[in-house]
Amino acid sequence: MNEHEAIQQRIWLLLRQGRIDRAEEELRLYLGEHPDSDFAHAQLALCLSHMDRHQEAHEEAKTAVGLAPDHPFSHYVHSVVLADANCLPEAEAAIREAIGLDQSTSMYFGQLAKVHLQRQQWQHALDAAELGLQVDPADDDCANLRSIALIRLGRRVEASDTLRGALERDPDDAWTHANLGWSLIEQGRYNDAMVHFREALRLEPNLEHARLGIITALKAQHFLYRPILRYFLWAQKLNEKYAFVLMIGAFLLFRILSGVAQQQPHLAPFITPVLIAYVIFAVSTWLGNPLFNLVLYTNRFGRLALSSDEKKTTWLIAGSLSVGLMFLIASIWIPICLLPSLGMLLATLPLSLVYVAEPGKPRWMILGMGAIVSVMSIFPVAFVLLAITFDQYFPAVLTAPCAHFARFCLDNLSLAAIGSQILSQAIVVRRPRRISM
Amino acid sequence: MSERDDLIAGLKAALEVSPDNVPLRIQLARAYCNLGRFAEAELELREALTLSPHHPQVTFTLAQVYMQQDKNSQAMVIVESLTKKPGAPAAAHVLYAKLLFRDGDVPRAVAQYKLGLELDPSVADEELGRTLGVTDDPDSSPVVEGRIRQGWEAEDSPVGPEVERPKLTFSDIGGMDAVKEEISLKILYPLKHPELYKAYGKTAGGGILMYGPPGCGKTYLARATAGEIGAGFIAVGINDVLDMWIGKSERNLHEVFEQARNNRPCVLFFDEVDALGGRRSDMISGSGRQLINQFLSEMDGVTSSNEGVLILAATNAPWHVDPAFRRPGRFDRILFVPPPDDAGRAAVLRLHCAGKPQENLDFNSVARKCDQFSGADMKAIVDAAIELRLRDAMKTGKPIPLQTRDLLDAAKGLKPSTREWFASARNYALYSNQGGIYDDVLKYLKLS
Repeated sequence: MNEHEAIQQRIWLLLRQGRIDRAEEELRLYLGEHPDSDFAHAQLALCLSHMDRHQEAHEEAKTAVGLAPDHPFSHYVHSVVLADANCLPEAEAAIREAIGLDQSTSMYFGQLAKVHLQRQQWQHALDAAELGLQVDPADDDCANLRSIALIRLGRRVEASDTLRGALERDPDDAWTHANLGWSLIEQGRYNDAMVHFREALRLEPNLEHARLGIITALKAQHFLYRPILRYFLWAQKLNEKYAFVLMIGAFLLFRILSGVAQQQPHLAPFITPVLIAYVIFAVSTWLGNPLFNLVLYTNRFGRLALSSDEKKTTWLIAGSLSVGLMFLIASIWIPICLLPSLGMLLATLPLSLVYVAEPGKPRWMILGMGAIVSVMSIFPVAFVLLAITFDQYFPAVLTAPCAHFARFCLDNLSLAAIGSQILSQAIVVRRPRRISM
Repeated sequence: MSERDDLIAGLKAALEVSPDNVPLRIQLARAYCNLGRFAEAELELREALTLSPHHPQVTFTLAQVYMQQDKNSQAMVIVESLTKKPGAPAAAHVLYAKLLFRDGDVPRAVAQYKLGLELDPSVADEELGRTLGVTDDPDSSPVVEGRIRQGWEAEDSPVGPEVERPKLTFSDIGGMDAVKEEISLKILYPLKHPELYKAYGKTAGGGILMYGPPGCGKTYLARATAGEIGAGFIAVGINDVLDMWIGKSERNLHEVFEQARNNRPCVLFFDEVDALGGRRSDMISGSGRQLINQFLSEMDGVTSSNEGVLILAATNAPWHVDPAFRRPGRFDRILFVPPPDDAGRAAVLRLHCAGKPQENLDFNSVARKCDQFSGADMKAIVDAAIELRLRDAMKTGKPIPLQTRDLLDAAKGLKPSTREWFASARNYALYSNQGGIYDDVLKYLKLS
């Protein structure tokens, strides 16, 4: 074994063990002695990318490519780094470069399939994974990627067969168990899926893909959640752009139909149930996850399996709905309290996405939108109640601007609610490029 | 009245006339020392210190007096700062070496002793020199610069990891009672009552794997275990074993075990054992697996008996250790070393604040606010608080004592480094707790 192989094995072990910082330390020591090792620069790029230090990773990957432009591994690493940084077209170009240099390594086709999956190009992903399997039929990564692409293309049974084949080769592969679990979820076999998710977590307790699977399988035990889940699984297969167009299209259709119902009262009995069904469906898809997470609290395992962000979302939604419920009860005696009750329900729409967004500014923006909707629904009522109750004490100078603002809130509440939801969704799905080229 | 008593009476009378005379007070303290009356000597020296806070002779003599009274930590604090000052007396380095040796820190003791000798060879302490292996004729000593010679060793063999003789014991470690009790049962009692164990067909030895978040005292505990039984202590790091040449790592590992066997009773301590004994399924080459096989066969004592060799290992990632190590006769006890409890954290704070300007520090209240903080985190709190005080002191030109509020403010700005570890450990404990090996983690996190 030469020094190159020794460091390769050591780094492999450290990466497998998830000790990335240690791997970085050892690679930097090695690079101190061998500054021109393209392999070490490439491995360091992978470590840095794992640690979300994308810009540094990109620099290292470029160095590796610069040192050995004819080594496919350097291009492969460059592609991984670019894909992690959401630079998907460049990642695809880099991996195609690697494949151009070496068409006998299945790992490179696997990376191409991953990039296509990230770009939601399911058929291309399937083709790339199959090319990888042609090179090495025992490549479990390619088998897994193939199955994911098949699921997205609606070919569930084929996906299950691929994964079962992979499990026969390596029954201890947590990733395969988790994917098989998801393919069983697609087929509505929630209990069978649970078995595979549990096994995946036993083998790899930090596997997020499996933890999400277990939570989904647990929630799917409730029949009310199943239609919501089916919708989610279907929407997942759509390209993000189509999904967005669908959402806005459905909203516009809702506005048109409600306009028609107002102008043509004789059609209202037919249109209103459709509108109600749409509202129930839309609200349930937005709030389904956090609300059913709340149901999971009744199950010890489910409670423990929820991540801290999921718990926070659940409590945020529960809190917002509780306030809405209090206003609803108050509306029995003070009818105008129905407005903030509705407002709090509308505020839950963006609030349900706060912890789905990336930490920092995106979360604050969504939280701000939730707060604006709440204030817009509470302010008019609070103003009216204060102005009536403390008539003589209420400063006259404030009356006109407050009344004006209350009117503005009332007129624009529904627009703000829908707008905040669309904007929140846009913030959540937005994947900014994490490096400057 | 003896001559010495006369001397003391005379010095006291002189001091009544000239109470601010520091040299006179030092003379009195020395006279007390000669009579073995160290407590009175300490009083005089402390009085002298209030008159002249930076007098090197006073501080040095006070350190000597503390050491005579076994107040090692106080002596250590004084002598540590004394030796850092330029022009520190050579004798201070020798005194520091003695204190370090008492504390079990042999390598630093050797370094300090050699520094003292370099400054002034006349301060040589024959006994200390012999113990540390720093003599004119190193070939005649069984110890060379703190390392015990390996009796079996061939001349061209490389020197393996050092065998230390730690002075640290369990009483020096605050808290951790459950872990100490487990180690006592497994290691200390069999050594203290070998006949009893033999009657039941049990021999002294075996292995314990300690796991827990980093910076929580696993290495310290292993050292204290060796100190408790007066055994040798060999700390093995990954670099002592791993070698890029085929078969060399296995040979290195064998030599480490042989060294322990030749120095029995001996505690053989593997730090970050997951690096040496990682899961074979995580390895891409056969050579890594061969090293594991060698490790296992050495632990089993296939070629030589391991009686009297106690194998301790520490890891932050027990889930990465090959399951074969957990079979009976190998690491058959797996102990969770949690972050220090309130008392432990207060003790760590006390230790790190010793010798620093302070004012009525309430260590217990700070410790209570630092749930899940590791020992290393507690040190970081003290460092951060001192940094702030130091900045203020620079502006005013006067040392500003540390206050409880400073420590609390510093603690607020830090997050326990153990959180990340617990996030991972929680998942292993919840989903991969085969045989209940992580039950203690569940208990600690109140999930069981």
